[in-house]
Amino acid sequence: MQEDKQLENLIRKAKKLVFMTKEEKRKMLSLLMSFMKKNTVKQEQLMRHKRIIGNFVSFFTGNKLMIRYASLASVVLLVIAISGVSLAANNSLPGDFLYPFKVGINEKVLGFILFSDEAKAKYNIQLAELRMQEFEKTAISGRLDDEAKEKLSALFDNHIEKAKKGSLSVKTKNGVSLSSEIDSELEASLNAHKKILDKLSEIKKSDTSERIKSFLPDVEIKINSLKKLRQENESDLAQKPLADIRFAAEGKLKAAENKINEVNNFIEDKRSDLNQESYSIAKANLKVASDIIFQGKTEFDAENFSKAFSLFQEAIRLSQEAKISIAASIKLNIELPKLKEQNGSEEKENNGTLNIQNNDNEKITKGRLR
Amino acid sequence: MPGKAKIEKQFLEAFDKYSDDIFRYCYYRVFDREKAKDLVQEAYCRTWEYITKGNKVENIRALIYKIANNMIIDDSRKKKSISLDQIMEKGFSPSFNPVEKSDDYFIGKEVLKIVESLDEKYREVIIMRYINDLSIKEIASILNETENNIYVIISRGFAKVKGIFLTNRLRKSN
Repeated sequence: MQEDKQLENLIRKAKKLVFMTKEEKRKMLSLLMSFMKKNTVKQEQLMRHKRIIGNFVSFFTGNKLMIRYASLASVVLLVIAISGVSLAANNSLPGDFLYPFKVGINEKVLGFILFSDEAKAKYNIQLAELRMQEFEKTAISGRLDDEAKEKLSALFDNHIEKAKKGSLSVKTKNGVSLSSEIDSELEASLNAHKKILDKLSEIKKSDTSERIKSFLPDVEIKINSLKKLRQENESDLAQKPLADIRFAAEGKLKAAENKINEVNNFIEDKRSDLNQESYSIAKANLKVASDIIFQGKTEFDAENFSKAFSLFQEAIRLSQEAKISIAASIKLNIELPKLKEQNGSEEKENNGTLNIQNNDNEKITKGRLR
Repeated sequence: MPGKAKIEKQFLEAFDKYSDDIFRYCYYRVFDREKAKDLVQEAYCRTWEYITKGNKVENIRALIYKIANNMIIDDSRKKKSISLDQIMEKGFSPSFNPVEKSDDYFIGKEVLKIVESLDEKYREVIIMRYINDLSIKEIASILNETENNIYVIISRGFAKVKGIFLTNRLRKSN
């Protein structure tokens, strides 16, 4: 029909309204070409950089942005590694000659070429985690002096603030579900590393132990602040239409189940690196997360979708915490910390603040999860 | 190596030819310009990695779309769907250099807003068919559907767009 043809043409013409600018394309092409050169020639360096920045996250089931960080990292290495200085810098710790290159150049350039708020927020989470790892490594090697501690604390604070700021932008632009995920990921990382540092403070000499202990309250404050943000986000979600909360909860359940599988596979992969006790603790830690998913499903079936969402999110957080703990304990050769049992105090807080408002105008199809 | 040079040349030609289309496709799925750029960048990087692993690529355009589509699906699991109200609130300003504001511009904007408001299942095929000019066969391959299904979805999606468009016209003339 004639009017169908006219409408088709209108839709086709409308494509002119959406395009990348020449500058954007040029920049993207430049990065792509550098990536192409890097990827075929220096595969070894690409893998090494992935290990440093993204070692804790699976390529297919974890944070998919990490492969992009590694891809873009390889671009940076090609661009600025004239003499291999920046590549060597990536392994450096506070006090090393190349450490300023690592934090002042490598990391800054990587951050500069990320586009979206989500990518920037997640990048700063990775950097905060890197600082915690550096703290642990310097403590284990007996190099944690006052200067290193101050440097790491300052950088750590900076990354956390940027991650939180990015998360807030994501909340404004993309909604509360994604922002909640970012905050939850950061909380999991901080919880895991705080427990590792607790362990280290017990086994190291008095001056190192004191420095670790003086850093821990700061970490605790940040964890509490993130908990509060997360609970606010969960309350915001509870104000949405029921169908939206249900949709969010369903998505979160899938993510939680994927996460459990990912961490379970990780534990099995690392079995040879763990003694029997650590292996049992790792499995038990993951079971805590699995049990919480089960509780979440019960809430979902009872149509408490908001509560279900919170529980699935908690399961993801605990799984991620478990994974980070296992990797750190293997690397540092220390005993694996236990996760706490189901977080009773948090549940009480949740019960007090979440209110589900039913949208009377919507007819919600009742369904049950398997 | 001549073979390697040829592959690189073809790949860069694919960037030149299809990156705008891929960007449009990503934009109309995620409604976030910066995110769409991230997705385009990542889709091309992953396509290149796929090629360098020695995999044969018969249709590079379809492959890039498939990779972008998979990433968008993963991304959408984290977010709830965006309502028309939110699109209206955000405003429609996907490019920095708007085309000359002819009548076509305003009508096109109206039509695109209607397309944006469709359910994802209709929106993605309408975009691929009419904005990105993909064939039904290509769309079916990207979305792992039969050509028949794609044809049906396009027809239904188009009928919805037409219905809303004509209703809007009618309201305006009254």
